[in-house]
Amino acid sequence: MVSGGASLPLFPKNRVSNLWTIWFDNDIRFICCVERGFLGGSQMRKNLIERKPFKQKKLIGYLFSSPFITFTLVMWIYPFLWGIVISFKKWNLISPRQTWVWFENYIGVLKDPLLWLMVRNSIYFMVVFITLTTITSLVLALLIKQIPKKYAGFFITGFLLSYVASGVAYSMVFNLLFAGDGLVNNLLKIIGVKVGWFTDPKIAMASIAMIVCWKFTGYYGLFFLAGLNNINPTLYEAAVIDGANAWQRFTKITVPLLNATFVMIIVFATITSFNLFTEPYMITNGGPMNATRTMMLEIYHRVFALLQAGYGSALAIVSAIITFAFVWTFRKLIEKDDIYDT
Amino acid sequence: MKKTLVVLLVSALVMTLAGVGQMATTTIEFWTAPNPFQEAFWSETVKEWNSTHPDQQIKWQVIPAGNSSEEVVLTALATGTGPDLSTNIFTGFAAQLIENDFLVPFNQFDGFEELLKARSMENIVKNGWGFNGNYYVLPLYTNPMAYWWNKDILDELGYDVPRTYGDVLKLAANYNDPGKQKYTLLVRYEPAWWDRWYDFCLSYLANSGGKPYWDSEKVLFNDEHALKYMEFIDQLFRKKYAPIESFQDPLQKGIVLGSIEGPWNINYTKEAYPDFKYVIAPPLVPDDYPADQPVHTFADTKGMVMLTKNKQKQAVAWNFIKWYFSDIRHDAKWLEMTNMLPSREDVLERKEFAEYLSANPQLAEYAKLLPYSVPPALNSKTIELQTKLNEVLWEPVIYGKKTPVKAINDAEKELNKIIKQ
Repeated sequence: MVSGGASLPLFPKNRVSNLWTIWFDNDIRFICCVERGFLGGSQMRKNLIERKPFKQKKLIGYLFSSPFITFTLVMWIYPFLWGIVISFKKWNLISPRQTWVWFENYIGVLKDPLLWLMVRNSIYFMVVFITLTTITSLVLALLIKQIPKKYAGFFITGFLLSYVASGVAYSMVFNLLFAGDGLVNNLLKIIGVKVGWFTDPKIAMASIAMIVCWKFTGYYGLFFLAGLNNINPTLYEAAVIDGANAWQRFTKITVPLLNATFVMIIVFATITSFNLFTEPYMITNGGPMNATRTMMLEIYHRVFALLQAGYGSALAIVSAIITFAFVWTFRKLIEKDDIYDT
Repeated sequence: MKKTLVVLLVSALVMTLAGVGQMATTTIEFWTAPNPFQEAFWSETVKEWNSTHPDQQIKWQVIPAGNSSEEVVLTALATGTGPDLSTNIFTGFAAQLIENDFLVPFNQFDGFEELLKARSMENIVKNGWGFNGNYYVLPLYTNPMAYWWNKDILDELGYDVPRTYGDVLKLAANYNDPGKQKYTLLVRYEPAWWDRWYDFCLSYLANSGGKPYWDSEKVLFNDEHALKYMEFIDQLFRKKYAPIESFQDPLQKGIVLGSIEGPWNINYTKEAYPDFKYVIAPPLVPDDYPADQPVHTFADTKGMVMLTKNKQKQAVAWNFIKWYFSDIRHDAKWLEMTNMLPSREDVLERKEFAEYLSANPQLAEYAKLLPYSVPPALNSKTIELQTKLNEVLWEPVIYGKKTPVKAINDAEKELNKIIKQ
């Protein structure tokens, strides 16, 4: 779902200096976070590198970075720049003829009422998805934190399975589960309720958000778990001595000290919301009444079904700008730097 | 020394000859529809060709998985990994490919006219598959679409198979009960562009006596034929005679009484629901449609196209096409293995098909519709038009957001804009 995103400065530099890797995909983000949160390996690596002379250090650095740099150049920089060029052209993807139309595609995108409908759909998805996933993943992390460490790995792996499952496969399974005569509706029939999960325009996007929440709960739960492990246990001990109850300890210690994790998850979830593709593509194809049409779906449809590569590229650029605007706004609203130093 | 020289020379000669032999073998890429029955058929057919034509080999594969074959083929062509020869091409998509100079006209090859006669498809090709005086597609099969009605429930209720919209509404008034998952007619609400072939386009053809719903110049459907159908659809959804939820095989499970189906579902139904009894009937028509007039229907018909610009490969592809289309045994085997009707004018007359059709009465019902089956209306922007048709006409009426009159007027306006772009 989450394809290559924009190069967004998502974290304060003093906080995580090498997080330029978050440009790419969730797995790389994951590696960085685990490295900082759990392993404490950065100091060891720092010591090793510091023993080398500066030039050699530089060379080793480039050597180790070269696969990533090559990957970035070929798979991100080139398509990104080419996408910008195409967005100013009229090109049907399969013909050698490409005509410069400059801002015509951008004007078309901004004048199309579908753009604002898709933004509205993404916001609807984002609200449901972020609310649901934050709750489920935090609850999951809190539960896993309570169980002995030797069993925790089993549960973490179990919940991560949904994240690594094929989007196409589980979309088909959910489509059957939520069908008119599917398991969910058959159970609801007992209490006389029938829901058009994917056919009612009002709730189709919420149904998609539930599926994506199922996918990401284990993954985001891992971030929360890393965040929880980073909280100094003496803070809880002091709070207990001061007479704080469990709820007060949760709201006054756990939640504020998880701020960095909340910021990170909200940033990732926002990008996921605007990059949503597989589930609506597989289940609803953007319907009913365009209720699940997302910008990614429309970009794909424009480029590969209607052969409007220029228009699709312009929409991709506009989509990246809108996503960036949302991420930036959220960071401004919820990120609290002073908590980092606590 | 001499011996060594002779051995070396002989080895060099053998290697050279082997190289020449290798060079003389031309291989073409051939893609076919991603359908298990067609896959089995082409696997055997290509194997037969390859074994008898060692110097003209075919590398066959099904069209890779994707949302639609059209998207996959276009993506492959855009990245230079497309096939040399492909099936599963409908007229509108062919027009799109022709506009971009991807297809090779078959009438430039020797023996084209003879081939049309040999396969008994001269009228079919010349009356529906021509583009600017050239013929780029050879139709492979024609699947007329028809209604299926649940025979057991109709018999139980004492109703005849509905012929008109009024018949359906009368039947629904006495049968429909959404609370018990008893609906009358399945109307597909999916927004995929091709779904509109099987409801709006089909019904327009039925009501209008086979008149095209648009051409390459403008929209033609803003008339009483479209209005009567959309008013019927409006009533079906307002009165909940058609389900809005998705079901798997709702007709076979008895959730709906009737549904539009293609012949490809006959074998599946026979295997998955062996006890299900159904009647195959022509499309529904308005109440004032004369009972003695034949009813036209939409034909899901796909053909074969040549995409390679390499002359050597073109020669191999054309030889394969001649070999395939000129031998009626291939069409007979196609019919048996895929249960799809070959695009021939003599399907009902030739003894090669008679035995299979008499053993498969359901398919024979479809075969009777062949003379009244109309392929998709020609327009290179079919995908864009049907996407818009869904957005401004179909879904707004189904979800009660527009009246049929307004929806049709809006659709005419919006679709004409696309055609004129």
